[in-house]
Amino acid sequence: MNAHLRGLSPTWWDHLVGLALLSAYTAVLLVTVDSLGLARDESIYVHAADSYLGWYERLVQEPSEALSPGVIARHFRVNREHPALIKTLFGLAHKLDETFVLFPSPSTGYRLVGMVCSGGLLWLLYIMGVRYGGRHVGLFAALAYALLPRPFYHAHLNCFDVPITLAVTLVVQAYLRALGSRRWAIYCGLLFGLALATKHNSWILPGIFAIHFGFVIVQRRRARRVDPAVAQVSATPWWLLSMLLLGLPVLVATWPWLWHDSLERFGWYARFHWQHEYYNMAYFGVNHFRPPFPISYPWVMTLFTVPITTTVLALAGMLGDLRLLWSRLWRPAICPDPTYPFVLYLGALFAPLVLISLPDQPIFGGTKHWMTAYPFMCLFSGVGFARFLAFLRGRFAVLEGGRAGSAVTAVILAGLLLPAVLETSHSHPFGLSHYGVAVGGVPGAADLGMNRQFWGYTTGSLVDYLNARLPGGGRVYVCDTTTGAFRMLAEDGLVRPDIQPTHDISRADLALVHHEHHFAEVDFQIWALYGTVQPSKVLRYDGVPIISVYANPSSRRVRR
Amino acid sequence: MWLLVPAIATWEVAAHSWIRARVPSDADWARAAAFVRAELAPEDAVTAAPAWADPILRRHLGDRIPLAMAGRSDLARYRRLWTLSIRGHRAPETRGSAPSLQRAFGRVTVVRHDLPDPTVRYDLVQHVFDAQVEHGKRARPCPLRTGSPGRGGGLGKGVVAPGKRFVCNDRSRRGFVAPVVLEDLALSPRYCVFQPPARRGPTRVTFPSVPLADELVFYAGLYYEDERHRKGAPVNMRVLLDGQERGSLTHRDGDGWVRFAVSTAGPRRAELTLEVDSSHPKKRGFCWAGSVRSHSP
Repeated sequence: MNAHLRGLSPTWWDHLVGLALLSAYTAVLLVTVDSLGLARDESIYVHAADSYLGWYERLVQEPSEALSPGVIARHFRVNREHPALIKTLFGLAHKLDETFVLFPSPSTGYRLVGMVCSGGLLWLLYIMGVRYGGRHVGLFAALAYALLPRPFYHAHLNCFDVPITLAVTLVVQAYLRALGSRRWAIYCGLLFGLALATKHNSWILPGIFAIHFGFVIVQRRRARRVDPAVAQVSATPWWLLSMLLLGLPVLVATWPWLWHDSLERFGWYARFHWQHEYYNMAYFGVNHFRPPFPISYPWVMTLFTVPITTTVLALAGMLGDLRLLWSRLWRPAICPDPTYPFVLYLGALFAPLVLISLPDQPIFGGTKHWMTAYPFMCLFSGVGFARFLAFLRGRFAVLEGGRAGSAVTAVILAGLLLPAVLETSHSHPFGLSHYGVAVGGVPGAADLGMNRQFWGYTTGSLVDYLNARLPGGGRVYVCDTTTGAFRMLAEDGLVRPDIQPTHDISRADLALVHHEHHFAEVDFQIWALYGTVQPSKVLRYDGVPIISVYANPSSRRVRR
Repeated sequence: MWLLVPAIATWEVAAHSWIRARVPSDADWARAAAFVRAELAPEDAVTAAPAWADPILRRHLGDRIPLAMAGRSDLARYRRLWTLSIRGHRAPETRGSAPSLQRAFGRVTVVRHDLPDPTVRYDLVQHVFDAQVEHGKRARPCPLRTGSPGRGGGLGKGVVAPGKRFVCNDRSRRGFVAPVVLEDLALSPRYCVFQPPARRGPTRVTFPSVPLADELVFYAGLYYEDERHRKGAPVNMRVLLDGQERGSLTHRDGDGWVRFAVSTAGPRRAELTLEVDSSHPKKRGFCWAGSVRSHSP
């Protein structure tokens, strides 16, 4: 596909590099995870994970009883909005942590799966890059993804967004290989099943593949007219057959909830997401809470939150490959790769963004709803980086090879990733509040009235303050943080256990307000109930208010 | 073209550092606030620009910002407006007027604007507990009670009943009349009298003897979540002086926080009744702020 770039078959050395990326990234995530309070959804998944694992434990002890419809329903009714696979793994990892005392905080046990998935995604991305355009592509793609501020935040969590990003990328790659291999068609079906069992983002994959497959088949016919002996892909969609025959059974097998009343329960699950309720999301000063939502949302948010250098390199890589594709469309027989991976990757990149652009699609999840696009974006950043190197090689002989060449290449790689390093390191632990320089950073985004956070996760940044202000214990109105998430702060040893969460402002000793546009009413409720507009603390990120804390004037527990 | 790539990366690194360097320090805010605190007169108002910096302003000067100031509808009662400004922002209320004072404290700038002399003569929100309240077709009285404030709070709960309130319906979370801070359609705070229509018939607030001047100025609107779907029935507010209707407002969803004035033609005392009703009173969290004003200071 590339005039300058040539894909390679990965060697064991490449997989060693991938393993190193996985290990290093997981280590970084483990080191930084303690400063992140549990997010709203995480607390729900912790509850679900415990319940699901409880069922498996019962299955081992009392198999016939565990398999009864009532027991299955009792354990799997919790959070039946999402399949069980990943939550079961969260529970399993927590159990391992509990048994072998691997981590100082219980929440880290639940979060381990997400962190390993993030590391695994780097490995996969590196290998994909090597196959697509060589080692420079792979390495830059993996590092660029690791250094996306918002995905870096999500990489720490016991949520599905990172696992599904890994699963979707894996299925895309498996499908690509399935075009020329029946063995990979089987893998593709199995992996699709795992993706289905992870999150419903996977539902769009057959659509992407169908469009790509149609394109490949058309090109195949045209190529045969020119040269009947040219290497071809199979015209039979074995991948589709496999996805149908293996994908659905894997989903059902990993989700006992579907073992009884299957159609009704699957129907409920599908309807839940098809007709998902809408939550609030601020965008350019407007609090959007119902459709039509702005078409520009995913594009602008991507521009505002992804480091610009990464975006520019992705565009450069994409445009270069697009030009090559255009020139080869009219000479299909000479295309070096009849599976057209560029077309597939382009589809995998744009499909989630286009989907979220549809005016009736909920936007409350911010950038995480199209996070499956980012690995492919970073892959193209890798292509852009490799093209940039090729450009320099044509001008500077020192880059042609040898130690000096490698050293200069490493410096260039580090230089182009430096903005992402700065942005990502500065984003922690305020990942969901972070905005890049394209919008003037966090204050610039606040000026424009962009969303500042969601999920109430920033309470974790206040633990020292809460401990200091409530020396004898007390109650905290936790606003958008769930009581489960707050209690996990205590289990993790971050908040003293005598400090309890409450949802009653007037009975709280301290009241929190997470600054999102629509939470203004909570601020005003506190003003009226406490008779003051003066917070005792304002947690800020780059000078922008994230949480206000109010001390109840009638409380005797608050240290003034 | 490729040379743009390192240029963009360099610019991005520089811009990142520049953005962080421009963030005002706590010391800047403290010095600016101390200056304003020393200069603040009883009829001065304080604000932050941009509005998102308001929590930081209140952290430093919140003890000098009563609910009525934080939830003001306009500046008619104030002589001067102090703005603690960052990033070159100005308060929207001062657009087009020149400041009488400007002083920088690091990254925070204090700006003072002199306003026209105050025209507010009597604040109806401030005096609402002097009024009598009744509700329904049979005009049942709503007794004034002082007790525990409402429980709960949180997203979608609207206003929480304050401890001191007229109780019209014990069983309803919203069955009261009292000053509250309402979140209006623009998500702004409004210090106002919460007076939702009753299930059957209007809710009436009657001030027995109001010292009138040239006009009565009202602002009114609904709680954000009641209004934002634009599906609710209109809410009518009638203004009666000594039993005679002198003005009315029909508030339709989407109107937001609206101003309306009733001419009262000169100083005298009168009984003022504010009557609020709606054909479908469910989720009609209506609130008003009102004052007696003169045309000239």
